[in-house]
Amino acid sequence: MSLVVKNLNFKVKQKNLLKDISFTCNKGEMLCLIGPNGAGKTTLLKSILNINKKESGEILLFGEDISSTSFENLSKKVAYMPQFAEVPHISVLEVLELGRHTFSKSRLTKTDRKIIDEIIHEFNLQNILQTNLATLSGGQRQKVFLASALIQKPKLLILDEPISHLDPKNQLDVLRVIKKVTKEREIITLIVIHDIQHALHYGDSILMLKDTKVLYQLKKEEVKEEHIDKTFDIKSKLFKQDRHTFVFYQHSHAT
Amino acid sequence: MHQQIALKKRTKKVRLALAGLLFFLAVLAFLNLLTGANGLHVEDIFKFSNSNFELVLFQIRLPRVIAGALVGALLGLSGAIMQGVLKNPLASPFTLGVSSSAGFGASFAIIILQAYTNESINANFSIAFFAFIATLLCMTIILLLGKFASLSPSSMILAGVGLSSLFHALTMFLQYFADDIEVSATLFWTFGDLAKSSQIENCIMFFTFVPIYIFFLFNYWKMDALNFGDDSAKSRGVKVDSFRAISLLFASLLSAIAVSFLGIIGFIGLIAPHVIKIVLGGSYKWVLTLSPLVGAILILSADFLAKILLPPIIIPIGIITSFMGVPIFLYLLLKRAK
Repeated sequence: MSLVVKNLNFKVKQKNLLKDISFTCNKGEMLCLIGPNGAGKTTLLKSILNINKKESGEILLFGEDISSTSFENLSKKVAYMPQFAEVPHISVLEVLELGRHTFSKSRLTKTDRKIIDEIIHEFNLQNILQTNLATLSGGQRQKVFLASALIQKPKLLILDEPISHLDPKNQLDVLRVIKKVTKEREIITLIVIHDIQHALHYGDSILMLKDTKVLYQLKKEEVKEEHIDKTFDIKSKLFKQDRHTFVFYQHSHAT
Repeated sequence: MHQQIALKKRTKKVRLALAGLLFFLAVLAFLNLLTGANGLHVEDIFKFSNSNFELVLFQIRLPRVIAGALVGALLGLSGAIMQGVLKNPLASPFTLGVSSSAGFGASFAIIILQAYTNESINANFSIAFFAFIATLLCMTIILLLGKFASLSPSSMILAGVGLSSLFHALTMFLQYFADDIEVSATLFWTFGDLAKSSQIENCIMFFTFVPIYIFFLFNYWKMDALNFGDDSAKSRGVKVDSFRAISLLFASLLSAIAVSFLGIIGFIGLIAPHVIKIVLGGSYKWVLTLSPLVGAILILSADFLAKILLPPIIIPIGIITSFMGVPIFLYLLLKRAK
């Protein structure tokens, strides 16, 4: 396994915010984290990033324990797109350049420029390089953030709700790109997503969290109604057609 | 290919802006050499015809121009750093309590230590020293609050506003028990004035500015990373807490030295970074490297106005920068509200 998280615990003021979290993920795979609000999804991502200092446990990335690695060394292996990134008034090119400064500090090299060029073409950003990031649409902005994260050439890509504020078309566009780069670059992608249907369609496996614990880690084919119901305390119905899985929720109507 | 085109366009824009700023700086420096209480004309500079030429030019005006450029650079860089690390476009050395704490330090030296009448101490040195210490004290409290109370950048600004009121109250307390002459002296000290600076002060300002400026030439990208949020910056390899603390310490040092030597010169630290943001965008590569130049231009413009508005009186520059700063400050507030 390329990513192995073993018995990860995180506490703040004696309160457990992550309890014995264990899961695995292979390279080239997308692991979708789902669970109700407050389940510990973002906390888990920040613990993997060492932003939250773990109480105990191991995080092995290709066999190397990264749980005590400095931010500088970690940034050369792991890239992150936070849930609420602030949007400064800088150009798209400057956002992309930021992905290489962690390697080359203040002066970017020819290799850095080449890597940036490749991403510009891959993400079709040629015509917006000088555009102010703050003036882009939500979908375009997320693509630029994703491109900037990939410029770090990560082995592990961590995405916290990258499609939350996007319209359906942009949601699908961004998820397609994430799926494509995960496969092509053989990276491990951890993604927090609220839409179970998207998770079942784009993810390779699903990690279900509830009350700061892992309830299930399942291949997407293994997910059943009872898993969703127990995770979210709802009644759901799964319906499969042409390799697609549709999720329906039972509504309770007030009378 | 597209990247190269974008880079070329950016370089051209930056070079044009740099050339424009250097041109303005040169013109303003020259105008400032020509103007002052003593009449000195263009031909005097080229023909060495005025008998007072050497005295006026080399002993008074040139050090004043250098002091103006340096204090502008110090305040411009200090403001750019503060706006960057505190992620607030309205942050400046003065919103964090620099002016009121420096005013308190100066009042302490003038009223309690009797700096002007006590023959055992050097008045100018002791006033500058206590203004500097009080400013550093204010900044240290804010930094410690930030570290130990885990204050967010916006809360640190609020802490600065609170401390500003405290130091203001302490100054008024001292003034209440002082005699008329001491009150006048403390009031006069608060008028930022370039005439207070001599070659020693200019040297100290220069050697404080250069290493800090070089530090940010190599670390500007951390400021850009920080502007996407602390977590994002950490994932880019930035040690956020230590970088913020060092940056604020440097910004405090720059503004403390400027204010303790020359008195209160407001708004330069607030406005200079915004000029660059409007012209070249918000990347701190340009904001940090070019704000000092804008600061110098603003100070020399203000000094030129200070000398020509009511000749032969030279109005203290702090009054002019405040007059210039208020409309720009309001403009920024309104723009932000939109």
